[in-house]
Amino acid sequence: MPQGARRADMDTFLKAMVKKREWEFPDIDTLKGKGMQGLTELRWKAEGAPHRIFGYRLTENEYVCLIGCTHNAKKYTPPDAMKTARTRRHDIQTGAAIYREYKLLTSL
Amino acid sequence: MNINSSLVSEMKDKQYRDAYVASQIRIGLPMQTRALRKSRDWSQPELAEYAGMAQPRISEIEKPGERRLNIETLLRLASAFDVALQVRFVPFSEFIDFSEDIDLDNFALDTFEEEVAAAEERERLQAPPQRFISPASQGKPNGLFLVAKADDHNQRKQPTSDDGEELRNAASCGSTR
Repeated sequence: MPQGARRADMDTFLKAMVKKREWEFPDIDTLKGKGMQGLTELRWKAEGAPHRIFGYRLTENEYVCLIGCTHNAKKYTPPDAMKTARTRRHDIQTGAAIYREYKLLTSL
Repeated sequence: MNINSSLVSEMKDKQYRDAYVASQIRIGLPMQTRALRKSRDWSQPELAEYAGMAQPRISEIEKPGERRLNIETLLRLASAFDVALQVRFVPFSEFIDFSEDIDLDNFALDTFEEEVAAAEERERLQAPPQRFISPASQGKPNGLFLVAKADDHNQRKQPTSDDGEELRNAASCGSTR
């Protein structure tokens, strides 16, 4: 799948999500597992490949994206995506890492 | 469309441009479908029944990127919602404006019958409207006509370049002469 198509699908999905007041399944789901409490995944499919962004809601209007991955046959690529998400959330919460706003492409 | 915007800048890449159009169908239409269903307070099984599809198929249709939506499927959904489906080629400026402005939280469309009822209600509440009489409604061929002056024996004539002022005046007055 061309890189441009992946980018465009992600951009379109995220822009739609940003405008929505309530996020709901199947666009978002909770992550289960040890140390995953409070983490969610944004979900969409691009050319047959399920794409995910792991993250968590910081405030009512802010969502922190920790890592992006694909999900096929119950396996994530990269395979340590969940561990990375846990680590990054911990780093942010302890001040060891910072986050910055992701600039969506706009027509303005 | 702002040509200096980040989106337009990205779209100068042909590959991204094409992908942006496709993504509005793959990602945008499923979200529109779900928003429209929810605006009617319909469940997935209800929409499935109205569209003559199975509920799992509706579930897949509403997931961003899950299915390749073909025109036939979209027509069935449009019929179920009793709304029109517009498929046409448009310039990017128009496409971008629509895609970027759509508000899924408030995405609701009237059915044909609701539109007609609303139009009839508006008409009922208004003072007797001034109307142009369509040539077609009088059994005459379609076209743009000016109504001739009385001394022209009420015959219709095609507008000429000299009639431009007359035409503009007639239009701005909101009535024929």
